[in-house]
Amino acid sequence: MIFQEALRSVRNDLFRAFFFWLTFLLTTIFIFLFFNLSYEIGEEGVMTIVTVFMVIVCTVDIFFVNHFYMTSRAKDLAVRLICGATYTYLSFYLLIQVVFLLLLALPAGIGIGWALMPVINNLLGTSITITGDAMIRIAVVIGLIIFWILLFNLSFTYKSAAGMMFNMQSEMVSGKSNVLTVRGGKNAEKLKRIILIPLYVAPLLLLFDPLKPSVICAGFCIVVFAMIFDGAWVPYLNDQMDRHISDAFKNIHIGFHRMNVRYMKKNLILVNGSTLFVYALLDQAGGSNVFTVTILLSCCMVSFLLWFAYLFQYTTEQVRRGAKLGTLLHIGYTKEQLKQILRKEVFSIYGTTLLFFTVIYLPVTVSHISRAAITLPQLALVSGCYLLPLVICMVVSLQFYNRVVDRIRTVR
Amino acid sequence: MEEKKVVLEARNMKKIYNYQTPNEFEALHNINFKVYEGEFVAIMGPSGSGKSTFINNISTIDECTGGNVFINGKNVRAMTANEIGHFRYENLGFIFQDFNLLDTHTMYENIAMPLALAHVSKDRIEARVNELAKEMKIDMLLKKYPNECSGGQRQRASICRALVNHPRIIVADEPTGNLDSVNSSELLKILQELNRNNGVTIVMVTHDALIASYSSRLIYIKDGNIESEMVRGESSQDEYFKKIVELNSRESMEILTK
Repeated sequence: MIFQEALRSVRNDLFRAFFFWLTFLLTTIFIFLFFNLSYEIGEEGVMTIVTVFMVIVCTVDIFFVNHFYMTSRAKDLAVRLICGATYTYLSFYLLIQVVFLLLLALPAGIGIGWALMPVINNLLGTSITITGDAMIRIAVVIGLIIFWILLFNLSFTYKSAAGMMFNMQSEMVSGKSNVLTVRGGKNAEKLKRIILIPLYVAPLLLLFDPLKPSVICAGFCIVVFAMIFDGAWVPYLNDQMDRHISDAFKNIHIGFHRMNVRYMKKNLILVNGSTLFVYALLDQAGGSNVFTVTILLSCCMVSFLLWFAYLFQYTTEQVRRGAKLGTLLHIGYTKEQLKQILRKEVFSIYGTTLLFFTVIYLPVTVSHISRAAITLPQLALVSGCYLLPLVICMVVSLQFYNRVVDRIRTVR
Repeated sequence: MEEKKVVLEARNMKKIYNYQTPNEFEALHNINFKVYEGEFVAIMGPSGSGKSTFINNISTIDECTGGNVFINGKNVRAMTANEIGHFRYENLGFIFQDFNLLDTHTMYENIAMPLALAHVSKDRIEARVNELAKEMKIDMLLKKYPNECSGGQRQRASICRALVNHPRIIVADEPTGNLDSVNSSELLKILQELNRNNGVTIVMVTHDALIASYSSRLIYIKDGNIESEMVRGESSQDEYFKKIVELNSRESMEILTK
């Protein structure tokens, strides 16, 4: 009975279940390939950093997706709680869903990873093979990730009261707004913006020193990028809103863009920061082909994984926002006007993310080329692996919004 | 005697859900209904009677399956999508039970939206929004987001948005549904004042007899038909409230004795 109920729950929300499964699948493929590749390199200083970083990124990514999968189940769990379900019942109910999706993803991921190994060997001139020790490491990492997810889900059901879970889905965008809190007034805000933007690009000067690894410069830029959200990006959008309050199209898409920046902040920092950080490590390869391939692979997989996690979270926000779009129709917007506004919103958020990425990516690329750390085909691969999921996510977001608008029940 | 102007009229209005499917359901049956300028009309009825369907269809939120709806003499069904959009922000103001404010925008920005659609300049927007916010006592909250404000404050912002374009008709669907008794009473006094002092026509759905007693006319809907109508006339609010309670009880007794 509980087994059937759990599987029915998965079937009723195929969209989220698919994304959850896809994330597990991509993570498994990546961990499989990465640990088999990195095993050849051995425990060198930089490789240890890369390994730890990759494990953290994969874990955080799965956690993001798992968190959203769980919160989307909140109402379902709340209803079962008030009908008398016990903590044990709910724990098993969730465990069955997660384990089911894991069991579908793990063998498929390992299979695809195994099938990709000869392709990677051919393309990149490596000779990676599956080793027993590497498989043990893979099992340990995946086991740890699964353990933490299950623990998280158990604590979610244990501490969440029914009332809280009923409201959870509608309060996913919550928390105090600090976007208009300016300490020191408008001048202080302007000064902060004037400082932060040059501070974002200033570390690029370090690239001129061939002795300094690019990763140091990328690291600084990523830290400043995290500060830019509340320090410059949102205040800029607030200014734009003030300027365009009388423009019926701009005031809506600026508001949505501003909310996206607040809501998607962690995802944006993760996707840009992780990709840039790993990419910047390329000049530490020291001519080792396997090392270079490992970094390139990590860069590509991190980009794909984190963009899909971004898409997962963004579509959840789009669904929630869809409920409010009807309000705009009641005020006097038409469906076509709404679609235009939402198109602009999607282009803005993806475009601005790409812009911030490119500002750091281009100089680091020039540095890599000057240090002979990357070839043109490798550059095309990394660029493609950032752009392709970005474009896919943008197209999916646009299509999703169109569907959301079309489904609003109102006159024309 | 001066003839009152009809601002809203439904002629043989019918609403069928899932039309031409096996799950077809007729929610409203050939409704004929008029609202005159300056009236405060309350729509009451049991759950599932078609109150919200009725108000959605007469206010352009939904399209009726049959019949016609005229607002200020214009046939809504004959309008294009753009015309309906223009028409809404020029003529109508909506107040909903769950406020329907965008949480992506501050209270100020939410209230200003209809003015932006009407191509009002930035300075005039600022003046109008501040004026209304002061009247509704939410001028200190304009920079906050809706999720930082209480239900009563959000509903006041919702009223500001409904009034910002000087609409001729306000459509309110259970506006006190999510408010406590104090806020509900304050909100109804605001609507009553708007109606009496500014001549704003109000059409309000409610299931609460006390809320309905603030109106000047009551329409009772049951099973998709207008079952009865009551005019307040010269009665006091107390007397009117008692008549509404009596009407409700009578209807409930009919169901019990069936």
